[in-house]
Amino acid sequence: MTHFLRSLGQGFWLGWQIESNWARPWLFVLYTLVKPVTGTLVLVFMFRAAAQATGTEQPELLAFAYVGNAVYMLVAAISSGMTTAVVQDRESYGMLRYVRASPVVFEGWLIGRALATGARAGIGAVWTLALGLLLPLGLRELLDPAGIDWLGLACALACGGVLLVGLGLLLAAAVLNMARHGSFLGEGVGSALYLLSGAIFPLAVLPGWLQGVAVTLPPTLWLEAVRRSLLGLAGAGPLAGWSDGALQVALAGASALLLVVGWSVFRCADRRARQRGRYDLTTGF
Amino acid sequence: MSGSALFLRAMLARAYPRVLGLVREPTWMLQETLLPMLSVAAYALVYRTLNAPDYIAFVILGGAMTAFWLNVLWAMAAQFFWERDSGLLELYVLSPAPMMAILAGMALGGIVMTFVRAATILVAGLLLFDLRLEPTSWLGLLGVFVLTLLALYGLGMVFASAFLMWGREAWHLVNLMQEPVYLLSGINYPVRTLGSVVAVIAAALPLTLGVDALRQLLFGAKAVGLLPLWAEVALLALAALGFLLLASWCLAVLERRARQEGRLASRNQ
Repeated sequence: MTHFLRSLGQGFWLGWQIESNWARPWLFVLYTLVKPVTGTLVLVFMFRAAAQATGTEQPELLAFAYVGNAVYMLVAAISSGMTTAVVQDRESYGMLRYVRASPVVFEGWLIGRALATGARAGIGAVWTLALGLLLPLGLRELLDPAGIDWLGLACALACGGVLLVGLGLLLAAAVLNMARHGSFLGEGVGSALYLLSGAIFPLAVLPGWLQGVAVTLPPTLWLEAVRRSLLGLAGAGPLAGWSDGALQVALAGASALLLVVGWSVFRCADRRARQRGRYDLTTGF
Repeated sequence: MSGSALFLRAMLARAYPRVLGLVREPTWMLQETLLPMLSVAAYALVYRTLNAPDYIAFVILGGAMTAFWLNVLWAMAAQFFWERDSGLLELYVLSPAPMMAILAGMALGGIVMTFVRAATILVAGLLLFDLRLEPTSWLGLLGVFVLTLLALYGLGMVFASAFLMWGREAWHLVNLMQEPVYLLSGINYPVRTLGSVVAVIAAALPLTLGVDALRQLLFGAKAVGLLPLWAEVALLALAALGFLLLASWCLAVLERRARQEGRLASRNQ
């Protein structure tokens, strides 16, 4: 375990250096803070445009989408963080083979790399939520600290961490045996989950059969659990009838399952990559 | 070979791999068409949730035009960074081909490549959300579209020249020019929603003017246009000309500086 944690720490340190040392601190801070906020403000102005067109303000839906979009940044960051780490280290820096040959616990090291990306995204998400409270968006009225289910939030965040690591390992496993463009797999899965997990709209708006698919996806459960604990709002759709307890149990089970599956698949993919000499692969396009 | 013939041949040669790349790696086609459609659909569903179906067409058009902006950023602005990384940049500089021809070829190939992506988003979006486009003038629409592309890719050429000087930060800076530009250019909502002052500042971006002008031709009064159509067309034409001239000047100055500072061949900066 100590060895695993040390590998994770080293992966995190390296990942953070790659994430942050490309620029002067002020530019890095600007990059970390401006990008997530502007992405979420696009949604805010969509709501404003719709309100001007229809004459109806929908602050609860805005809060639902705002929080969902902010939290989703972590899904996108960690799912693409691990795939990018594999491709970048293998093809751009040519060091994946040395990492694999070294005594680090490879899974721990990769998780550390992804957590560095996740840390930057986490800062962006917290900053976005904080700004949401400062700006007159109606979020302040709905996000009352006294009304937050802190225990539920802590459980949801812990499960979310496990879930994202499992998802990242699963994607990294696939990319390990793919050419350079495999890094788009993380981005692709991120885009698909953005739509299917109902990050910015209630699931009820999806066609019936897609709602069924959405409920089986662990990130859907995670976003719903975080929103319920923060805002006390349940999204319209198939999860509306679930109690908070049932949702947390389902989320915990799905996260644990995803981690076990992700870890096992990664082990198989690692063995296969070594047999096929993929650690030395440079596809060059 | 005359200068213009060399320019033309170099331009076509640089465009060639981009056009051919469309069919060489089929998974790229999937990632270029299906993936962007997913996030476009998510934004469209937000308007469906809000009972504002008129704006769904804005999102679809915005998604299609965003494809060009992304191409300008990643395949024009940051391209010399990738080329340096793969060792091609020094070959371009050593060859007798003018660098402006290389940039023009990148733009031409990029436009062809991205047109497929944009058209797919547009057609799939229209079919998926049961929308119809009825422009007031097809010819006007084509003219505005071409002007928008000229202005966007002209700006891309200016960025490409500037990126000659940058190393690893290129990736992050390109990333930084995505969401803020989506916000300012009003790709998913009428740009007037930003308020008059911000909207006028946002008009400095060719994407803002291009998308707004296309909307005015496609949706008439529902477009809630920023400026009169003729003014947007004139500004786009000015921007296209200005950016092309600026790119040519920037390229000459920055290429010389990059040579002096030894940045043309140093990788992993």
